[in-house]
Amino acid sequence: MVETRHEFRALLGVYAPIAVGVFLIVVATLGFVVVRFRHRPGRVVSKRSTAPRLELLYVLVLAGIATFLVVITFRTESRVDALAASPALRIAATGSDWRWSFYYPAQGIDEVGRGQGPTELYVPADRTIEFDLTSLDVIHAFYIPYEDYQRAAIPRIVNRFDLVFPKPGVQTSGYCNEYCGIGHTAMRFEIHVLTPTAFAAWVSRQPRARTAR
Amino acid sequence: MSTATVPVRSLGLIGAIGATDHKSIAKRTALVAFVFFIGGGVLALVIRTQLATPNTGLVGADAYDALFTMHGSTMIYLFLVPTAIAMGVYLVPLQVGAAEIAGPRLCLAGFWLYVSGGLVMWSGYLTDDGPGAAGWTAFDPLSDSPHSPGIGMDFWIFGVALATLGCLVMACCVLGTIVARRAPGMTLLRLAPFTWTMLVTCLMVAVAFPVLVVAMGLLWVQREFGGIFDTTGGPIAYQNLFWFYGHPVVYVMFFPFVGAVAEVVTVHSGRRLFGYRPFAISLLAFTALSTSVWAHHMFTTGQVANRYFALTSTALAVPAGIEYFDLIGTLAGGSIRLRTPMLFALAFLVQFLIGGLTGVLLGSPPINYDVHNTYFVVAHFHYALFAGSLFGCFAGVYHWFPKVTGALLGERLGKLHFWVMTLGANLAFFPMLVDGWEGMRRRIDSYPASAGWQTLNDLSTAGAVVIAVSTGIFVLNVVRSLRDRRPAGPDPWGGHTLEWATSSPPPRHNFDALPPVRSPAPLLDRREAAALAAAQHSAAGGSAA
Repeated sequence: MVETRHEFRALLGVYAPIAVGVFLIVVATLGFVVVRFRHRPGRVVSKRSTAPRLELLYVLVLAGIATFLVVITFRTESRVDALAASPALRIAATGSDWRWSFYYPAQGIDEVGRGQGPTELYVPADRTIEFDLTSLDVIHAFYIPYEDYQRAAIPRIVNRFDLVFPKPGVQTSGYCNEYCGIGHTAMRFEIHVLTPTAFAAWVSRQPRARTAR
Repeated sequence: MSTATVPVRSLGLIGAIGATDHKSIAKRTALVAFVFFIGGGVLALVIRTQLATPNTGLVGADAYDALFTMHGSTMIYLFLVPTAIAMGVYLVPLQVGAAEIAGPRLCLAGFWLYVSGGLVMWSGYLTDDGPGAAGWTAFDPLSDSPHSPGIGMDFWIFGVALATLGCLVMACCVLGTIVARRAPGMTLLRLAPFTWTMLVTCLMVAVAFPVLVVAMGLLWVQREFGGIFDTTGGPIAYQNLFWFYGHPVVYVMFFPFVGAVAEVVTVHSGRRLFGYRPFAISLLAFTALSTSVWAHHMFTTGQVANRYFALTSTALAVPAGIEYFDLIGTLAGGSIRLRTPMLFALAFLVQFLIGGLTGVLLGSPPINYDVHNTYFVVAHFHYALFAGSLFGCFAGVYHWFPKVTGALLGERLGKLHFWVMTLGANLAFFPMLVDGWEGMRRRIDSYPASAGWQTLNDLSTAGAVVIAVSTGIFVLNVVRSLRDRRPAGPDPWGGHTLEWATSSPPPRHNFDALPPVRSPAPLLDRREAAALAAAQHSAAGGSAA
């Protein structure tokens, strides 16, 4: 079971210190150089205009860091993009101007939202859930900040991905994160993470959709 | 020297329309671009006012969508790209020792294509439904006729196509000048650093810009007749076309200003560019990679080879690192004068680094899955393009203003401009890194009070106002400088490259005489040779006494 939150944070835990470190090293070097070589009357300017060995060594170090980052990115991405052979639950998520709908094919449940409020998405905690994402009109994006994850919803294309919601009892929001017109700002859905038992109870309370899609 | 000088009459209105002197075309392009910069900046101020409080409601959703669309489109298609090209149109013929740009009338046509593109795009504000409002990227299907029915969207498409075609034409003239109009002795490895950056910029323009012009044509056909992008995978095809332009263009808006910074760093520290060859090689590597990274804008679509584009995007850190190494290596061992151009160049190095390093993070798909389309990305490209490119641009403006006008810009106002602009840029864009990280989406017209982003947004808004003040200081500096006309002389800084070998401003034919070209810094060669001769002469005189 792959938790996107965990994967994201672990990868960031490598990237962020490197980025901050590089920034501090460059700024400190630059600051030192500017102070040390400030114009003074009679300062003799160095005639040295190249240092091929030093520069080559530096390039190798840079390439080494870049290679390391690419390798850990590939490893993380393999886990995040992998699809479970038999997910515990499948949900077809569909974006359209400007709301979300969620269809649970095995359970025959169709959540389309009521009135002006956001559509509700009920999920069991600690289970691998496969989302089959698409759009009926323009491109939208299914974005859950709590999961540190988003995917584009594209008309005529189904994007599949797995998510795991680790903790029950969480209530959080998901948003459209691809600009889609005047309703974009308000295109939101509300997520309820239930314990597996509470989720089963919720399923049994729902009316079945008349025709399976 | 006694050349018979033919007095050049001012051509007035006809000159403003039809003068083919590359210096005049470049000045007009820069002036028009600056007007668009002010226009795009005013839109930014309205955007920042809207976001200052959670539910300001200053403008409605439709007007807000037009605001960020026109802000981004103006700054990219009508300000930064034309400004970058205009710098090349002015300086490249001078730096290669040419009397004229290659294809002067073509270049003039490019200028007018650009101007008409800008006017067409902005005339969307005169239509009932307002201007284009599908974002600066105009993704299909949002930009097709059912979802963007207004004529303003068509104006936007034609405006982008015309302005881009104009810049393409001007860049071809610059490229032709570098290829065919170099002075005797000016080999490719003796080009001035700025000319090197323009060379690779024009190569990227030649490869990428036609693709956007075609994409705009296809978008228009889609709107009128359909059948282009309304297929399975059609919207992705549009994005591939768009970003095949849209990523190289980032470097088109960046490299000329790296070149400007390189010139400022060399001249104002009195030193030759350190690592000239690695610098040139890194530019070529960047250019090659620039056409191989476009789909890192599409990681979350699930429809591109994420790994390939993550690999190429991360690889960019290597040539970028070489450029930093060479520029800091030039400063080390020099004699650094902290005049206004140097201050802007140093701030460019620091602030662009924030844009570059956040870019490395964004180039990793699993990180991108979280922060894509949030204010983290907005902060990233504003650090790259505003706090980076535009600071590099101002380094160049303060450096070359005396060459272009014959008058020096004021140092005190220049330094005030620098410090106020630095404060404004960081105040505006650093908070965006934070609220983006917390999940604030881009292109939203309001946010809930419960999100807790108001303080960060207030800082950004204050920063935008400070930037506006700094721009006012710059305009004041230019106006005062042109009124007082403190004469600059041909070479106020102790320049290295050929543009400093002629008068300020240069005559219509650019040069009366050229010094011999034996390195990328012919004027520095000449001064060093003269100093050596003087030393030998005094030594000889001393022994004779």
